[in-house]
Amino acid sequence: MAHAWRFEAIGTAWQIDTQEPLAADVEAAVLARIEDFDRAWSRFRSDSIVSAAADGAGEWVLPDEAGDLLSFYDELHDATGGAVNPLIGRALADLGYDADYSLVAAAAPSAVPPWSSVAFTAPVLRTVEPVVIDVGAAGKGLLVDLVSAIVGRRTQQLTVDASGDMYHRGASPIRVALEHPLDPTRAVGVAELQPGAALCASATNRRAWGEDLHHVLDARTGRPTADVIATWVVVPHSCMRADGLATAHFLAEPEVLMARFQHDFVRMHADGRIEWSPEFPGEIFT
Amino acid sequence: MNLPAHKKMLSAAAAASVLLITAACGSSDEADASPEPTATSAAPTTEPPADAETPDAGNEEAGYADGDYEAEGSYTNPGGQSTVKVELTISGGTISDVAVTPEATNATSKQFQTKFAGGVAEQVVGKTLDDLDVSKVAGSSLTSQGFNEAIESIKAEAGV
Repeated sequence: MAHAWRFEAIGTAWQIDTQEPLAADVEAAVLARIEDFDRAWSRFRSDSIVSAAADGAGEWVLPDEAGDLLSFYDELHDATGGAVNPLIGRALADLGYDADYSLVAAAAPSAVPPWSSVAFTAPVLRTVEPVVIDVGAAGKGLLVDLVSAIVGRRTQQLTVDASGDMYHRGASPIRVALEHPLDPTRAVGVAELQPGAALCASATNRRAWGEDLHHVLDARTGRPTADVIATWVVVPHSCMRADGLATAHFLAEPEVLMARFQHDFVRMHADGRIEWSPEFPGEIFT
Repeated sequence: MNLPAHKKMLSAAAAASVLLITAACGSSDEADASPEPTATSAAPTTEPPADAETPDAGNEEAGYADGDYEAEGSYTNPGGQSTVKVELTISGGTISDVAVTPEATNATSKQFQTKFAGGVAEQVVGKTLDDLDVSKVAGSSLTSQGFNEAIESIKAEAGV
């Protein structure tokens, strides 16, 4: 597409491609939406709702998107036997991925509280102890959906790419290289993203800070995953679901997820083995 | 856009995982699910050798006789009895080629099996990005300045 708007937000690079430059008010609305989202959900800023909930038990009024997000987390938690759980935040921080980027792991990281220990009745989340919520598994994808909706009010053709989590709507598909997790100059395959589809990539190579330390945790153990090193998921219409399923493929067997969620996937293991769903829209370079 | 059909080159690990998948989606009480080799009397096993010093699941080549093998696994699902055919070639003690063919007769089973018979490759080769006509790259998220700076300072402290 002819025009690209690039910016950095929520700790990553964004690019929005459109046929015509976006109007100033649309750009402002996008940035305001991202700011609202961040102020609610970021555990990296002290003024967020999530940070308040980390300090004490209470009742927290969450923004509108919480309904979709937390009910999807319910589905993921159920499908992965509890491996996906947004209450991993404190364990993640203890391992070094904290607001100050200390990147130093505590000797005894916190256990992850059960997801059932909190209760959500829109719009209120009730907690009985301080909990650190981390919506890293699906939050960025959801934000891509929210931004796409704003941009999509004014233009039919758009691609919103939050550094590997993307939604595409246009007259024709786009081709997306699947970056080799061990060599960013290579691709393990290409996805063909149809109009209306979302693609999310997740890999443990960049957000890693030490031996076996990275940002994808198994909530059942409180430790980073080891076997799977990269996943890609394509889902029609929902970047949130693509994002969450990209995380889930680190933590559950593909046949379980394929039976339960409409999506296509590619996943790569530490030993170089790669698997993909038979109808994955694209090509794997074996 | 023309894209080649999915390849069905699978690995030793793939054979094991496909069979496990078959078992997992069946009712698991089937005595007839064990693959039977047809090309040789040396029955291959999907169990890795019991060797405490090599816990890696990849070490499965020991004890396989060279040849072409064909096996069928069947299982019961809500749509009835279903089978998948697995053909594999062993050369030099390792599995060099595997093809998995769903043999379901009803549509529901076929859909399930098609999902389970997805592609697997032992070692992905990849291509350089320069050789590809793509408009986007999707990998791990580019990280923020803060994270990258923290990593750099840790490396400096550690002297790596």
